[in-house]
Amino acid sequence: MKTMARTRMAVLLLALAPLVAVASAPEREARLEERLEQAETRHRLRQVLELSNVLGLDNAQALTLEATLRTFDEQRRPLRRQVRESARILHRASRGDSEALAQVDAAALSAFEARERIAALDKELYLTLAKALPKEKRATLALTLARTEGRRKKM
Amino acid sequence: MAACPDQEERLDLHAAGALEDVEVVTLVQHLEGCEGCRGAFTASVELLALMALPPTTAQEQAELEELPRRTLSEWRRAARRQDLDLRTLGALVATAAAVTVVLLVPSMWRLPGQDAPPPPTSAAATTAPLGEEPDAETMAAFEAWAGLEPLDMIEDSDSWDDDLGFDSGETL
Repeated sequence: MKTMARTRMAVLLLALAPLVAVASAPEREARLEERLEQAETRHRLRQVLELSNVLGLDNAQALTLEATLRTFDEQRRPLRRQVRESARILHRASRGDSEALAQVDAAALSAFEARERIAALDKELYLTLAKALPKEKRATLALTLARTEGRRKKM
Repeated sequence: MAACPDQEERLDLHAAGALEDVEVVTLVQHLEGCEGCRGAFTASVELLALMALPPTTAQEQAELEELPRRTLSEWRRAARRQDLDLRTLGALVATAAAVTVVLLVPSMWRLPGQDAPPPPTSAAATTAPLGEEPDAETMAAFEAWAGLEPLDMIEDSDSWDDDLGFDSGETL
């Protein structure tokens, strides 16, 4: 009877082992999502500080700015996923992965499409933030946003 | 008067009801003519009557009657348990085999012209599996090219003051 119980346990473990392996992939993806979300929050806070500093915003205006930036971050999030997935496919294809090679064109087009939509969002963000600012501060805003982008490209 | 020595054993066996039928006939014929053996036989019967087991109680009788049925049901239960164990083992082996087939066969069983899955649309691109990630620097460069802040490169930076142009010696 003991032998039977041990055999049953061993077979059960063998049956579950592949499921555990399959289950670990979504967990890894969830961890990555969480990490990106934290980095996104840190980046937003940095932006709020920088813009509040250069535009001379008070606390209430800084909070409004944070809410606006958050809305745009939420719209950027699926585009970021699109860009990262395209990068993964292109990376695998560049190493000769046959499955990825079949997706090269779609992945590249997907990246370009996301890039255009991100640029449109950047413009929309500028227009939204500039609306409440006098001309001089609009210029400062445009320069600050451009400087942020320049820094980003030098990274 | 004493019993005949050669009949003593037979007398005792007969009194206990254990004598063979053939010998009973001979002994009974002997008893008709031997008073000593008759007396010894009677004494043995009386003695054995004193030693007899008491009659079975109603509970004992019921248990005795129940015994065959209980034995049979116990045997059936053991057989069912063994059958169930075998079935459980079979089901587990079948499950393990099915899981293995589901996981391994799709990647192995691909015809030469069919190794290309449908190309991803922008929405489908998000469902592709992870793995073989580009390194953080490449990913950051790709994100920067697309106009995104490379989040992989953002850490709990100490250089915020430098980035924001604050004077690090400034006190609030």
